[in-house]
Amino acid sequence: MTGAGMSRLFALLLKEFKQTLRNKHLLYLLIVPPVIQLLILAASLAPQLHHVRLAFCDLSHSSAGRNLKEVLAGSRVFDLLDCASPEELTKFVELKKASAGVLIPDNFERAVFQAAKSGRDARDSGACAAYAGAAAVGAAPANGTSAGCAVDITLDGSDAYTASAVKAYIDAGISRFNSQYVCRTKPAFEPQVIYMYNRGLKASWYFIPGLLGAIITIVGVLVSSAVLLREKEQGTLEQLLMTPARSWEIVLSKILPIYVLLLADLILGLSLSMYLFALPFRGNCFLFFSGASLYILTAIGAGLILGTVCKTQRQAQLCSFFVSIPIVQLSGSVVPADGMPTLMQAFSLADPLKYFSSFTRAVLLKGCEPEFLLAELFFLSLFTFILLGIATLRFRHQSE
Amino acid sequence: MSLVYMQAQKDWQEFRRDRLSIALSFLLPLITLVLFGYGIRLQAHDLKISVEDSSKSAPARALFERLQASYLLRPVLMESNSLEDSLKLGKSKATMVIPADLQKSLLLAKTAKLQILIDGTDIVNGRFVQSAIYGASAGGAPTAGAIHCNKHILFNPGLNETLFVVPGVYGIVFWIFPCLLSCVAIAREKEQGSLVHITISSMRSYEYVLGKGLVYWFLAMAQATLVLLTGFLMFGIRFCANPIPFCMSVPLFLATAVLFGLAIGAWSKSQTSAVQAVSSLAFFTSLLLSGFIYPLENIPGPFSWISYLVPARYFIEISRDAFSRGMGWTACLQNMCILATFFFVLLCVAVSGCKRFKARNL
Repeated sequence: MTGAGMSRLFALLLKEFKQTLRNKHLLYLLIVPPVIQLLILAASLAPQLHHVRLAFCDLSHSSAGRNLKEVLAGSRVFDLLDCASPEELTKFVELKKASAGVLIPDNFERAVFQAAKSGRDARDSGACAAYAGAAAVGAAPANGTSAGCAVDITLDGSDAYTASAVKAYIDAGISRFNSQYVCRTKPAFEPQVIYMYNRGLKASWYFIPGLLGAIITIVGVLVSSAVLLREKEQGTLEQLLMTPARSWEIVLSKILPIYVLLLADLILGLSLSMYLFALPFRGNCFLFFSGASLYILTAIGAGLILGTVCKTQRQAQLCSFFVSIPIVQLSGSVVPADGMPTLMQAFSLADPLKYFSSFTRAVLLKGCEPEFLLAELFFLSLFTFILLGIATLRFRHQSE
Repeated sequence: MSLVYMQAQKDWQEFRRDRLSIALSFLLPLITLVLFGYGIRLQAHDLKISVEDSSKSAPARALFERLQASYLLRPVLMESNSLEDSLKLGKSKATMVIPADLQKSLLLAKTAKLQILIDGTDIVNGRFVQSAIYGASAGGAPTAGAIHCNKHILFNPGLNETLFVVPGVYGIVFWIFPCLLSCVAIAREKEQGSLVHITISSMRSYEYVLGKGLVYWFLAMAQATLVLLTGFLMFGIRFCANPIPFCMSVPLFLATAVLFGLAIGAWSKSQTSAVQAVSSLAFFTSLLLSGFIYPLENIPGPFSWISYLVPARYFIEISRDAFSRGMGWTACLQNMCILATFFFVLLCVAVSGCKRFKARNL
């Protein structure tokens, strides 16, 4: 680049930075609300089930019933509510006072006793301990006790996800009850589970990396389209186009201040969450910020394209939601994407945020080295290149 | 009253001219409905788990098959050196090592220890992977014990997630888009300077707010009709009980959304700030703090108060009741009263925002 070109770019940059810094309101708006939003959401979102209200009605009033109650309470998922009658239990579930109800029949104690006895008989007759679980299953119907020893579970199915999780927890509780009080067998396998990268399964550690990406997307697209369109609406863009500056220089000078502000957002949000939520930063700092820069530029590129397509700010604002909502939804950044149908999974391959949120999680939590992130880095650079390229081309086309 | 009508007419003429905005204001809710309605599924399936079988024995193969049989997991056999890499690359959610002396310990009636690493970065699926692994290693079949349970599932016996998600999407869509349109409408007039005219016209602030609100409320009603119709045709969502509470709540909720947008627009300084406020106050809160996806019971302490300030929360309850629970008035009345309170409070906030603008520019 020649000296003249350099100073021209410098002059443009100076103009844009001054313009941005003068607008205190915009500065405040770009930095404070997104960070507060990040922190509030990170503190309050908790997708795991705790405090599930479980209505519990024990018609047997027996020690076996109390044992089952203790086992269920011991899972630390349920808050048990005592009910006097089956009708009250159903009413609790219907009126949403409880997510599920457990009804213990009046012959429960006897059933448990008989089942335990038949299990013992089966074991004595030489069944291998490893397959004792299966033996107990075989033995129970043989004695004709299977009809008598069922616990009644009532589930509120309107929240299908919670219902199936609650169902699984109750199943687990019942099988624990079986192995403790009924079969008294040693299990064949004992899984020893370690959660990697997030031992305590802290919800904030999951949400912060995803929310960072989602917020950058929404703010970046919105602001970069607004910057371009305001000059268009106020008519100052034409003045800018009349200067000898090239179109890429104008685009670059528009991009940089927003880039710096979004990066500041990211750094502020990240350092506050490291302080408040003890979020780890296990990976390479340089690696993280190069990936983050690529993503910020992608978001700005998408915003600039909108800025060249739309005629008014209102159109751009509506369009920015048109772009941001699918990007956020398909990416799996705040809502897990594993359950999405196959067609949508295929669409999500074209979603830059998908790569960025898996990149952020990998660097911050897993501490991955660059060689594990080649695909993410490749796609992020590809998106940056394509989107900024299109934006510059369209801008040049428009200015001619 | 005629001033309200005239203001409404003026706004409608103005909005009608912008074809792209009209198209978008109908397209956006539809796209959101389809995206969320099909895309939000918390019940995952086929989560990959890498298994290293160092015993190569029959019980290990049986365990592998039980893992395969669970709907949630998809086990893949792997060599030991690529196990942790597959976690790091995010290619599998968990790894399992089956010990080499499995057969021996089973013959000696000892418990064989399985070493399992679960990717904790995905907290939503982590626990399910764990419980599925526990289930498979305990023997798999649900009857593996003497006491079993009969399950009765109320309201949605097939545990169909669509019935939970789509009525929730109604709450999100009916909140975000009316609010976005009305907020842009007022912030734009402010930025272009034409809002100053109301300071010298004989129109009162509340007439201005009502006139503007009326147009966007009608627009929102049209959007809502389209969305409900699409929900019925695409997802087969239909009323399961008395539809009157729902049908009464929709206009009320839409009016609340429009007023929320007007209030933000009246108090904000520029279009960009208004839209940003909508995106953070309306989009993220109604998506994440309304009980639409994640249950609200888990929100800790003081943060749970924030969720009480999200109107979408109450509408989603009404909507879910109308389409999947069917308890009718008993479940809806309280929520409707709360929505009405929001309506009046936001009306006051929007009118006072306009009054403030008037006073400052006089």
